[in-house]
Amino acid sequence: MTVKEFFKSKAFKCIITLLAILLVCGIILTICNALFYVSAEEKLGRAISKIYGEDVEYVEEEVDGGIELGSSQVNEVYEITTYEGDYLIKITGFEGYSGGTVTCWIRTNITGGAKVLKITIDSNVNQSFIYKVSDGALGTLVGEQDGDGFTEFEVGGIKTGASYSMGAITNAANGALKYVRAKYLATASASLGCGQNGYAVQFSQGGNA
Amino acid sequence: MKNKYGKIALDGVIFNNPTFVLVLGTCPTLGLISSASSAAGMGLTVVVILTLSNILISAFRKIIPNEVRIPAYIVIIATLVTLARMVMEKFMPDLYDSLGGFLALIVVNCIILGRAEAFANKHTVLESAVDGLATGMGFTAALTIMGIICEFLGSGSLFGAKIMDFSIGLFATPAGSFIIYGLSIAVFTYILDTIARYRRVKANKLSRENLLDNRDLGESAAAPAAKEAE
Repeated sequence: MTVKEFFKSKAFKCIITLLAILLVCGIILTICNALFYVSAEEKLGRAISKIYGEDVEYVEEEVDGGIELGSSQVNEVYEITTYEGDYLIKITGFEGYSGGTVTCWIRTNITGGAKVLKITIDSNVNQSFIYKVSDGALGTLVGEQDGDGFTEFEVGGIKTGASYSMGAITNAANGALKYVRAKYLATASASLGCGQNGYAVQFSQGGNA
Repeated sequence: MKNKYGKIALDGVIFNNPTFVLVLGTCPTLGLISSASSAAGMGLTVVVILTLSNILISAFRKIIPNEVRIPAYIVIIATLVTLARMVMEKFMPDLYDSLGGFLALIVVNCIILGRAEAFANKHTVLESAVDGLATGMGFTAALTIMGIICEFLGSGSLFGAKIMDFSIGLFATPAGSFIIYGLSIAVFTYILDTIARYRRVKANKLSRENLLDNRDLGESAAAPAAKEAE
C-alpha cells in the first residue's frame, strides 16, 4: 500500500474520525471541568452546611496527619465560630463490621461539659450493612450518651453487621469526646497517646502542649 | 407523520419498555430502587443522557465509519456522562452523592448503547430524539414505580417522608429489589398480554362481522339473478 492509497483508505478515515471525536470531546470536557470544578474547600463547606442545616463560619484547627486514639483517629477538626463552644470533628472509628472503619462528622459542644450534639456518617470501609444505620438510629445514639460518653451499641447481646458498624460509630463518638475534653476543656488533664506520626500528643491543664 | 412519532413514543414507554420488556439496565435498577428519590433521579439523568446521545449519534451516523462505530459511541456517551456528573456535582450534590458509583456506570448502560446501535444509527435526528426521550421516560417511570414500592415496604416512607413505622427490611436491600423487579415484570407482562388479547378478540370480531356482511350482500345479490333464471 502506497502512502497515497493509505490516505484514501478506510483505515485512515476511521483513525481520523476517532481522533476528531476524541479531540472535540476532550476540548468540551476541559472547558466544562474549568466551569464546573468543585474545590475541596467548597466540598467541605457543603458538608459542614449539611450538618448544621445552614451556612456557618468555621476555622480549621491543625491536626498534623491525624491523631490516633486507640479505637479511633481524628482526621480534621473545625471550630465553628457561629456557635459558641462548637467543634466539628471528622473522625474514623475502628473495629467495625469485617474489621472495617466508619468515618463520621461529629458535632461536639464544650459549653457546660463536652457532649456530642450530632453524628453524620461521611464514608465507610467494608460496612455492607451501613445502610441500616439510619439518621434516626444515630439520633437515638446521641440521646443515649451519659456523662462519660457512649456505651457499646448492642441489641439483645447479639452483634450483627449493622451493630458492628454502630460499634465503630460509637468508638468515633467516644474518640471525639476524648479529644475535645483533652484539648479544649480547661479541667482536662489527659493524654491522647501516640499520634500517627509516632510522637506522643500530650495535653495538660489549660490547653494543648 | 404524527402517527410515526406517537408509535416511537409508545414503543419506548410501554411496548418496548427497557426495564419491564427488554430487561436492560438491570444493575442500576437493582442498586437504586430501594429509594424512590434516587430511582427517579437516576431515571431523569438517563433521560437527558439518552436523548443527547441519540441526537448526536444520529447526527453523525453518516460520518462515523461502520467499523469504528462502537468505540465512537462509547466516547460520545462517556463524554455526556462525565458532563452530567460535573453538572450534578456542582448543582445537585445531594443527588450526586445518592447515585454514587451508578452515575459513572451509565457509560456502559445497555439501554443507552442499545438504543444507539438499534435505533439512532438508522433513523433521523428527530426520530432518535423522540426515541431517546420516550425510552428514558419508560425507564424513569419503571424505576420510580418500583422505588416507591420498595421504599414503602422497606423503610415505611415515600420520597424520604416517613409514612408508617412498620417496614420489612428485606425490601431495602438489592435482594428485596430483585423480588419487586420480578413481580413488576410479571404484572406488566400480564397487562400487556391482556391488552393484546383484547385487541385480537376485537379484530377477530370485526373480521367475522365483515365476512358475514359480505356473505349477506352476496346472497342478496344472487337471489334476483336466480329468480330470473327460473
